[in-house]
Amino acid sequence: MSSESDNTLMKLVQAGDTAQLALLFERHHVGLFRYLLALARDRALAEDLVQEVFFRVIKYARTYDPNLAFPVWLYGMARNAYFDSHRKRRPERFTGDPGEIRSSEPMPEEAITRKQDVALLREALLKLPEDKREVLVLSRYHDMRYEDIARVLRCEVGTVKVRVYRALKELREHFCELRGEKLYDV
Amino acid sequence: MTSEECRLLIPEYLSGQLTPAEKNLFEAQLETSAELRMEVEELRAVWDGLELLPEEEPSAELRARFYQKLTEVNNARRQSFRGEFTWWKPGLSGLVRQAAIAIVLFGLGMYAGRSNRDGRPQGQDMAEMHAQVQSLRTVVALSLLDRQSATSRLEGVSWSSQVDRPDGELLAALLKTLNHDANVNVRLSSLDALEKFSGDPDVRKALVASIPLQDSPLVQIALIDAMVHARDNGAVIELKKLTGDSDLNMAVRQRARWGVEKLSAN
Repeated sequence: MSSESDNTLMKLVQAGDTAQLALLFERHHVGLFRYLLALARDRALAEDLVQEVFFRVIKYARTYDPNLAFPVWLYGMARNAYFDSHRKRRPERFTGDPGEIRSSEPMPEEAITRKQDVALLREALLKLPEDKREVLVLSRYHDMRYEDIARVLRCEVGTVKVRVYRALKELREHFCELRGEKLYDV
Repeated sequence: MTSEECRLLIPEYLSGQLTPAEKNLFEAQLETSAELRMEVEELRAVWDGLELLPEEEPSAELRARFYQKLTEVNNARRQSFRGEFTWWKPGLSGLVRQAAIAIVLFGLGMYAGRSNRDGRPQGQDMAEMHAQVQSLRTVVALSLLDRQSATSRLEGVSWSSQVDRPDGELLAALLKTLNHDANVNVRLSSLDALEKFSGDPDVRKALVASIPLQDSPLVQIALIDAMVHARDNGAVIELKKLTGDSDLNMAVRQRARWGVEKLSAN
Protein backbone atom coordinates (compact mmCIF):
# COMPACT_ATOMS: atom_id res chain seq x y z
CA MET A 1 0.00 0.00 0.00
CA SER A 2 1.61 3.23 -1.23
CA SER A 3 5.00 1.96 -0.18
CA GLU A 4 6.70 2.82 -3.45
CA SER A 5 9.95 4.64 -2.99
CA ASP A 6 10.27 8.27 -3.98
CA ASN A 7 12.49 7.07 -6.76
CA THR A 8 9.85 4.74 -8.19
CA LEU A 9 7.24 7.48 -8.00
CA MET A 10 9.55 9.93 -9.74
CA LYS A 11 10.12 7.42 -12.54
CA LEU A 12 6.34 7.27 -13.00
CA VAL A 13 6.11 11.07 -13.01
CA GLN A 14 8.93 11.15 -15.56
CA ALA A 15 6.92 8.72 -17.68
CA GLY A 16 3.97 11.15 -17.61
CA ASP A 17 1.95 9.69 -14.74
CA THR A 18 1.60 13.04 -13.01
CA ALA A 19 -1.02 11.70 -10.57
CA GLN A 20 1.89 10.15 -8.66
CA LEU A 21 2.94 13.66 -7.76
CA ALA A 22 0.11 13.57 -5.21
CA LEU A 23 1.95 10.89 -3.22
CA LEU A 24 5.21 12.78 -3.33
CA PHE A 25 3.35 15.88 -2.23
CA GLU A 26 1.80 14.04 0.71
CA ARG A 27 5.18 12.73 1.77
CA HIS A 28 7.19 15.89 1.50
CA HIS A 29 5.07 19.02 1.52
CA VAL A 30 5.11 19.62 5.29
CA GLY A 31 8.90 19.33 5.57
CA LEU A 32 9.34 21.46 2.49
CA PHE A 33 6.97 24.07 3.89
CA ARG A 34 8.98 24.25 7.12
CA TYR A 35 12.23 24.62 5.21
CA LEU A 36 10.82 27.38 3.02
CA LEU A 37 9.24 29.09 6.00
CA ALA A 38 12.61 29.13 7.73
CA LEU A 39 14.06 30.79 4.65
CA ALA A 40 11.24 33.15 3.75
CA ARG A 41 9.80 33.85 7.23
CA ASP A 42 6.48 34.42 5.52
CA ARG A 43 3.79 31.72 5.66
CA ALA A 44 1.91 32.80 2.55
CA LEU A 45 5.09 32.97 0.50
CA ALA A 46 6.28 29.60 1.85
CA GLU A 47 2.98 27.99 0.81
CA ASP A 48 3.11 29.57 -2.64
CA LEU A 49 6.63 28.27 -3.05
CA VAL A 50 5.71 24.73 -1.97
CA GLN A 51 3.09 24.69 -4.70
CA GLU A 52 5.53 26.16 -7.21
CA VAL A 53 8.19 23.58 -6.35
CA PHE A 54 5.90 20.60 -6.85
CA PHE A 55 4.95 21.82 -10.29
CA ARG A 56 8.61 22.37 -11.07
CA VAL A 57 8.97 18.66 -10.29
CA ILE A 58 6.79 17.93 -13.33
CA LYS A 59 8.47 20.58 -15.44
CA TYR A 60 11.98 19.42 -14.69
CA ALA A 61 11.22 15.71 -14.16
CA ARG A 62 13.66 14.80 -16.92
CA THR A 63 16.54 16.31 -14.98
CA TYR A 64 15.93 14.08 -11.96
CA ASP A 65 18.89 11.87 -11.22
CA PRO A 66 17.76 8.61 -9.56
CA ASN A 67 21.20 8.26 -7.98
CA LEU A 68 20.43 11.30 -5.87
CA ALA A 69 18.01 11.08 -2.95
CA PHE A 70 14.73 12.67 -4.02
CA PRO A 71 14.61 15.13 -1.07
CA VAL A 72 18.03 16.46 -2.06
CA TRP A 73 16.79 17.21 -5.57
CA LEU A 74 13.51 18.60 -4.22
CA TYR A 75 15.13 20.88 -1.64
CA GLY A 76 17.66 22.08 -4.19
CA MET A 77 14.77 23.05 -6.45
CA ALA A 78 12.96 24.69 -3.53
CA ARG A 79 16.05 26.73 -2.83
CA ASN A 80 16.17 27.91 -6.43
CA ALA A 81 12.47 28.79 -6.34
CA TYR A 82 13.01 30.77 -3.16
CA PHE A 83 15.92 32.75 -4.59
CA ASP A 84 14.00 33.34 -7.82
CA SER A 85 11.15 34.83 -5.81
CA HIS A 86 13.58 36.67 -3.55
CA ARG A 87 14.62 38.96 -6.38
CA LYS A 88 11.09 40.21 -6.88
CA ARG A 89 9.58 40.01 -3.46
CA ARG A 90 8.87 42.38 -0.58
CA PRO A 91 11.25 42.71 2.35
CA GLU A 92 11.44 39.80 4.80
CA ARG A 93 8.91 39.71 7.52
CA PHE A 94 7.94 36.88 9.79
CA THR A 95 4.26 36.13 9.83
CA GLY A 96 4.39 32.83 11.68
CA ASP A 97 1.69 31.96 14.11
CA PRO A 98 2.96 32.73 17.59
CA GLY A 99 0.95 29.72 18.71
CA GLU A 100 0.92 28.86 22.37
CA ILE A 101 3.93 30.93 23.21
CA ARG A 102 2.05 34.16 23.72
CA SER A 103 -0.86 32.59 25.53
CA SER A 104 -2.25 34.88 28.21
CA GLU A 105 -3.41 32.01 30.39
CA PRO A 106 -1.78 31.95 33.79
CA MET A 107 0.93 29.28 34.02
CA PRO A 108 3.17 27.96 36.76
CA GLU A 109 6.39 29.94 37.07
CA GLU A 110 8.59 27.13 35.76
CA ALA A 111 6.45 26.66 32.70
CA ILE A 112 6.53 30.39 31.99
CA THR A 113 10.31 30.38 32.05
CA ARG A 114 10.43 27.42 29.67
CA LYS A 115 7.88 28.91 27.32
CA GLN A 116 9.67 32.23 27.37
CA ASP A 117 12.92 30.48 26.56
CA VAL A 118 11.32 28.71 23.64
CA ALA A 119 9.95 32.03 22.39
CA LEU A 120 13.36 33.66 22.77
CA LEU A 121 15.06 30.80 20.98
CA ARG A 122 12.66 31.15 18.13
CA GLU A 123 13.33 34.86 17.97
CA ALA A 124 17.05 34.15 18.05
CA LEU A 125 16.69 31.70 15.15
CA LEU A 126 14.88 34.33 13.12
CA LYS A 127 17.70 36.79 13.79
CA LEU A 128 20.25 34.52 12.15
CA PRO A 129 21.39 35.48 8.67
CA GLU A 130 19.58 33.53 5.97
CA ASP A 131 22.49 31.21 5.10
CA LYS A 132 23.05 30.19 8.71
CA ARG A 133 19.34 29.79 9.42
CA GLU A 134 19.00 27.59 6.36
CA VAL A 135 21.86 25.25 7.14
CA LEU A 136 20.82 24.93 10.77
CA VAL A 137 17.23 24.12 9.86
CA LEU A 138 18.33 21.51 7.33
CA SER A 139 20.65 19.80 9.78
CA ARG A 140 18.37 20.03 12.81
CA TYR A 141 14.92 19.32 11.39
CA HIS A 142 15.37 17.46 8.15
CA ASP A 143 17.60 14.57 9.16
CA MET A 144 19.91 15.43 6.31
CA ARG A 145 23.50 14.34 6.46
CA TYR A 146 26.12 16.95 5.70
CA GLU A 147 26.81 15.34 2.33
CA ASP A 148 23.18 15.84 1.32
CA ILE A 149 23.06 19.37 2.69
CA ALA A 150 26.17 20.14 0.67
CA ARG A 151 24.41 18.88 -2.46
CA VAL A 152 21.35 21.05 -1.75
CA LEU A 153 23.50 24.10 -1.09
CA ARG A 154 25.97 23.22 -3.85
CA CYS A 155 29.00 23.61 -1.66
CA GLU A 156 31.66 21.48 -0.01
CA VAL A 157 30.92 19.27 2.99
CA GLY A 158 33.58 21.19 4.91
CA THR A 159 31.71 24.43 4.27
CA VAL A 160 28.52 22.90 5.69
CA LYS A 161 30.42 21.74 8.75
CA VAL A 162 31.80 25.20 9.43
CA ARG A 163 28.49 26.91 8.69
CA VAL A 164 26.45 24.69 11.02
CA TYR A 165 28.94 25.22 13.85
CA ARG A 166 28.98 28.98 13.35
CA ALA A 167 25.20 29.10 13.04
CA LEU A 168 24.81 27.27 16.33
CA LYS A 169 27.30 29.58 18.04
CA GLU A 170 25.56 32.66 16.70
CA LEU A 171 22.17 31.29 17.68
CA ARG A 172 23.41 30.92 21.23
CA GLU A 173 24.77 34.47 21.18
CA HIS A 174 21.43 35.90 20.04
CA PHE A 175 19.60 33.76 22.57
CA CYS A 176 21.79 34.93 25.44
CA GLU A 177 21.46 38.54 24.33
CA LEU A 178 17.70 38.24 24.27
CA ARG A 179 17.77 36.72 27.74
CA GLY A 180 19.97 39.56 28.91
CA GLU A 181 22.83 37.22 29.79
CA LYS A 182 26.48 38.08 29.50
CA LEU A 183 28.46 35.87 27.17
CA TYR A 184 31.82 34.47 28.02
CA ASP A 185 33.69 33.44 24.94
CA VAL A 186 35.05 29.94 25.13
CA MET B 1 42.75 16.35 15.99
CA THR B 2 43.26 20.05 16.69
CA SER B 3 41.08 21.98 19.06
CA GLU B 4 39.50 23.88 16.13
CA GLU B 5 38.72 20.66 14.26
CA CYS B 6 37.16 19.29 17.40
CA ARG B 7 34.90 22.29 17.88
CA LEU B 8 33.59 21.96 14.33
CA LEU B 9 32.44 18.45 15.21
CA ILE B 10 30.21 19.63 18.06
CA PRO B 11 26.97 19.80 16.02
CA GLU B 12 27.56 16.34 14.59
CA TYR B 13 28.37 15.05 18.06
CA LEU B 14 25.12 16.52 19.38
CA SER B 15 23.09 15.07 16.53
CA GLY B 16 24.74 11.66 16.84
CA GLN B 17 26.13 11.80 13.31
CA LEU B 18 29.78 11.12 14.12
CA THR B 19 31.25 7.83 13.05
CA PRO B 20 32.33 5.56 15.95
CA ALA B 21 35.98 6.43 15.28
CA GLU B 22 35.28 10.18 15.25
CA LYS B 23 33.18 9.86 18.37
CA ASN B 24 35.99 8.10 20.22
CA LEU B 25 38.47 10.78 19.24
CA PHE B 26 36.03 13.53 20.16
CA GLU B 27 35.24 12.03 23.55
CA ALA B 28 38.94 11.56 24.28
CA GLN B 29 39.38 15.27 23.63
CA LEU B 30 36.39 16.03 25.84
CA GLU B 31 38.08 14.21 28.69
CA THR B 32 41.10 16.44 28.53
CA SER B 33 39.63 19.82 27.61
CA ALA B 34 37.44 21.65 30.10
CA GLU B 35 36.97 24.41 27.52
CA LEU B 36 35.55 21.98 24.98
CA ARG B 37 33.30 20.40 27.62
CA MET B 38 31.89 23.82 28.50
CA GLU B 39 31.25 24.70 24.88
CA VAL B 40 29.55 21.37 24.22
CA GLU B 41 27.22 21.90 27.16
CA GLU B 42 26.38 25.45 26.10
CA LEU B 43 25.65 24.48 22.53
CA ARG B 44 23.79 21.37 23.65
CA ALA B 45 21.31 23.58 25.52
CA VAL B 46 20.56 25.51 22.32
CA TRP B 47 20.58 22.41 20.10
CA ASP B 48 18.13 20.59 22.39
CA GLY B 49 16.05 23.75 22.75
CA LEU B 50 15.48 23.78 18.98
CA GLU B 51 13.58 20.54 19.42
CA LEU B 52 11.04 22.40 21.59
CA LEU B 53 10.11 24.97 18.97
CA PRO B 54 6.53 24.42 17.83
CA GLU B 55 6.36 22.77 14.42
CA GLU B 56 4.74 24.95 11.82
CA GLU B 57 1.97 23.35 9.79
CA PRO B 58 0.87 24.56 6.38
CA SER B 59 -2.76 25.59 6.02
CA ALA B 60 -5.35 23.17 4.66
CA GLU B 61 -5.73 25.57 1.77
CA LEU B 62 -2.30 24.59 0.45
CA ARG B 63 -3.42 21.01 -0.11
CA ALA B 64 -6.69 22.13 -1.72
CA ARG B 65 -4.85 24.50 -4.07
CA PHE B 66 -2.31 21.84 -4.94
CA TYR B 67 -4.94 19.27 -5.94
CA GLN B 68 -6.89 21.82 -7.90
CA LYS B 69 -3.80 22.75 -9.86
CA LEU B 70 -2.75 19.13 -10.30
CA THR B 71 -6.13 18.33 -11.80
CA GLU B 72 -5.77 21.30 -14.15
CA VAL B 73 -2.28 20.20 -15.16
CA ASN B 74 -3.45 16.65 -15.82
CA ASN B 75 -6.33 17.91 -17.92
CA ALA B 76 -4.07 20.23 -19.88
CA ARG B 77 -1.64 17.40 -20.54
CA ARG B 78 -4.44 15.17 -21.74
CA GLN B 79 -5.69 17.89 -24.05
CA SER B 80 -2.22 18.43 -25.46
CA PHE B 81 -1.80 14.71 -26.12
CA ARG B 82 -5.04 14.76 -28.08
CA GLY B 83 -3.96 17.47 -30.41
CA GLU B 84 -0.27 18.18 -30.30
CA PHE B 85 0.74 20.97 -32.63
CA THR B 86 4.16 19.71 -33.47
CA TRP B 87 4.51 22.16 -36.33
CA TRP B 88 4.82 24.96 -33.82
CA LYS B 89 8.26 26.48 -33.73
CA PRO B 90 9.27 29.06 -31.16
CA GLY B 91 10.79 32.30 -32.29
CA LEU B 92 8.00 33.61 -34.47
CA SER B 93 7.71 37.35 -34.35
CA GLY B 94 4.85 38.96 -32.39
CA LEU B 95 2.35 39.50 -35.18
CA VAL B 96 2.91 36.11 -36.76
CA ARG B 97 2.63 34.45 -33.37
CA GLN B 98 -0.69 36.21 -32.65
CA ALA B 99 -2.02 35.13 -36.00
CA ALA B 100 -0.88 31.58 -35.38
CA ILE B 101 -2.56 31.51 -31.99
CA ALA B 102 -5.77 32.88 -33.50
CA ILE B 103 -5.71 30.13 -36.15
CA VAL B 104 -5.06 27.49 -33.52
CA LEU B 105 -7.93 28.76 -31.36
CA PHE B 106 -10.22 28.83 -34.38
CA GLY B 107 -9.12 25.31 -35.24
CA LEU B 108 -9.74 24.15 -31.68
CA GLY B 109 -13.24 25.63 -31.80
CA MET B 110 -13.95 23.80 -35.07
CA TYR B 111 -12.48 20.62 -33.61
CA ALA B 112 -14.61 20.92 -30.48
CA GLY B 113 -17.73 21.52 -32.54
CA ARG B 114 -17.01 18.56 -34.80
CA SER B 115 -16.17 16.38 -31.83
CA ASN B 116 -19.60 17.05 -30.39
CA ARG B 117 -21.25 16.27 -33.69
CA ASP B 118 -19.12 13.15 -34.09
CA GLY B 119 -20.65 11.72 -30.98
CA ARG B 120 -17.92 12.75 -28.56
CA PRO B 121 -20.09 14.71 -26.18
CA GLN B 122 -18.70 17.07 -23.57
CA GLY B 123 -20.06 14.62 -21.04
CA GLN B 124 -17.31 12.23 -22.03
CA ASP B 125 -14.67 14.80 -21.12
CA MET B 126 -16.45 15.43 -17.87
CA ALA B 127 -16.52 11.71 -17.15
CA GLU B 128 -12.80 11.46 -17.85
CA MET B 129 -12.09 14.41 -15.58
CA HIS B 130 -14.26 12.87 -12.88
CA ALA B 131 -12.40 9.55 -13.17
CA GLN B 132 -9.13 11.38 -12.88
CA VAL B 133 -10.19 13.22 -9.74
CA GLN B 134 -11.37 9.91 -8.27
CA SER B 135 -8.03 8.34 -9.06
CA LEU B 136 -6.19 11.23 -7.40
CA ARG B 137 -8.36 10.94 -4.32
CA THR B 138 -7.57 7.23 -4.13
CA VAL B 139 -3.85 7.88 -4.36
CA VAL B 140 -4.03 10.53 -1.64
CA ALA B 141 -6.23 8.38 0.61
CA LEU B 142 -3.84 5.43 0.32
CA SER B 143 -0.90 7.63 1.09
CA LEU B 144 -2.51 9.20 4.14
CA LEU B 145 -3.79 5.88 5.52
CA ASP B 146 -0.19 4.73 5.56
CA ARG B 147 1.02 7.63 7.70
CA GLN B 148 2.19 7.41 11.31
CA SER B 149 0.10 10.28 12.56
CA ALA B 150 -3.47 9.37 13.54
CA THR B 151 -4.65 12.78 12.30
CA SER B 152 -3.24 12.01 8.87
CA ARG B 153 -4.89 8.59 8.85
CA LEU B 154 -8.21 10.19 9.78
CA GLU B 155 -7.70 12.53 6.89
CA GLY B 156 -6.97 9.51 4.68
CA VAL B 157 -10.29 7.96 5.69
CA SER B 158 -11.97 11.25 4.90
CA TRP B 159 -10.38 11.28 1.42
CA SER B 160 -11.46 7.69 0.85
CA SER B 161 -15.04 8.73 1.60
CA GLN B 162 -14.84 11.07 -1.38
CA VAL B 163 -14.16 8.17 -3.74
CA ASP B 164 -17.40 7.02 -5.34
CA ARG B 165 -16.29 3.53 -6.26
CA PRO B 166 -13.16 2.56 -4.35
CA ASP B 167 -10.98 -0.07 -5.94
CA GLY B 168 -9.88 -3.26 -4.20
CA GLU B 169 -6.69 -1.66 -2.95
CA LEU B 170 -8.50 1.18 -1.21
CA LEU B 171 -11.11 -1.15 0.30
CA ALA B 172 -8.34 -3.44 1.55
CA ALA B 173 -6.56 -0.44 3.08
CA LEU B 174 -9.75 0.67 4.82
CA LEU B 175 -10.37 -2.84 6.14
CA LYS B 176 -6.80 -3.09 7.35
CA THR B 177 -7.31 0.22 9.14
CA LEU B 178 -10.55 -1.00 10.67
CA ASN B 179 -8.97 -4.21 11.92
CA HIS B 180 -5.51 -3.12 12.94
CA ASP B 181 -5.25 0.63 13.47
CA ALA B 182 -3.98 1.47 16.94
CA ASN B 183 -6.34 4.42 17.25
CA VAL B 184 -10.03 3.79 18.04
CA ASN B 185 -11.17 7.01 16.37
CA VAL B 186 -9.43 6.03 13.15
CA ARG B 187 -11.04 2.56 13.30
CA LEU B 188 -14.48 4.07 13.88
CA SER B 189 -13.96 6.51 11.08
CA SER B 190 -12.88 3.75 8.67
CA LEU B 191 -16.00 1.81 9.61
CA ASP B 192 -18.11 4.85 8.70
CA ALA B 193 -16.37 4.98 5.34
CA LEU B 194 -16.83 1.25 4.74
CA GLU B 195 -20.51 1.36 5.67
CA LYS B 196 -21.13 3.30 2.49
CA PHE B 197 -20.13 0.20 0.57
CA SER B 198 -21.99 -2.35 2.65
CA GLY B 199 -24.04 -3.11 -0.46
CA ASP B 200 -20.99 -5.05 -1.62
CA PRO B 201 -21.24 -8.64 -0.24
CA ASP B 202 -17.45 -8.83 0.17
CA VAL B 203 -17.43 -5.70 2.30
CA ARG B 204 -20.30 -7.05 4.43
CA LYS B 205 -18.43 -10.32 4.89
CA ALA B 206 -15.29 -8.46 5.90
CA LEU B 207 -17.23 -6.37 8.42
CA VAL B 208 -18.63 -9.50 10.04
CA ALA B 209 -15.15 -11.02 10.13
CA SER B 210 -13.91 -7.86 11.84
CA ILE B 211 -16.09 -8.30 14.94
CA PRO B 212 -13.92 -10.90 16.71
CA LEU B 213 -10.80 -8.87 15.91
CA GLN B 214 -12.00 -5.80 17.79
CA ASP B 215 -11.18 -5.15 21.41
CA SER B 216 -12.85 -1.77 21.78
CA PRO B 217 -16.52 -1.86 22.87
CA LEU B 218 -17.11 1.34 20.89
CA VAL B 219 -15.99 -0.29 17.66
CA GLN B 220 -17.83 -3.53 18.45
CA ILE B 221 -21.09 -1.65 19.01
CA ALA B 222 -20.56 0.42 15.88
CA LEU B 223 -20.00 -2.79 13.90
CA ILE B 224 -23.18 -4.35 15.29
CA ASP B 225 -25.11 -1.22 14.29
CA ALA B 226 -23.57 -1.38 10.83
CA MET B 227 -24.75 -5.01 10.42
CA VAL B 228 -28.26 -4.03 11.43
CA HIS B 229 -28.34 -1.03 9.09
CA ALA B 230 -27.12 -3.23 6.26
CA ARG B 231 -29.74 -5.83 7.21
CA ASP B 232 -27.01 -8.40 7.00
CA ASN B 233 -28.61 -11.65 8.10
CA GLY B 234 -25.29 -13.40 7.61
CA ALA B 235 -24.08 -11.60 10.72
CA VAL B 236 -26.56 -13.30 13.04
CA ILE B 237 -24.27 -16.26 13.83
CA GLU B 238 -21.39 -13.96 14.75
CA LEU B 239 -23.66 -11.73 16.83
CA LYS B 240 -25.03 -14.74 18.71
CA LYS B 241 -21.47 -15.68 19.61
CA LEU B 242 -21.03 -12.22 21.10
CA THR B 243 -24.17 -12.50 23.23
CA GLY B 244 -22.74 -15.63 24.84
CA ASP B 245 -19.21 -14.30 25.42
CA SER B 246 -18.96 -13.52 29.11
CA ASP B 247 -15.61 -11.80 28.66
CA LEU B 248 -17.25 -9.11 26.61
CA ASN B 249 -18.39 -5.74 27.86
CA MET B 250 -22.02 -5.89 29.05
CA ALA B 251 -23.13 -3.08 26.74
CA VAL B 252 -21.69 -4.94 23.75
CA ARG B 253 -23.51 -8.14 24.64
CA GLN B 254 -26.78 -6.23 25.04
CA ARG B 255 -26.26 -4.51 21.72
CA ALA B 256 -25.48 -7.86 20.08
CA ARG B 257 -28.70 -9.29 21.50
CA TRP B 258 -30.59 -6.32 20.11
CA GLY B 259 -28.87 -6.87 16.78
CA VAL B 260 -29.85 -10.54 16.66
CA GLU B 261 -33.48 -9.62 17.40
CA LYS B 262 -33.54 -6.95 14.71
CA LEU B 263 -31.94 -9.13 12.05
CA SER B 264 -34.05 -12.19 12.91
CA ALA B 265 -37.19 -10.09 12.53
CA ASN B 266 -36.23 -9.20 8.92
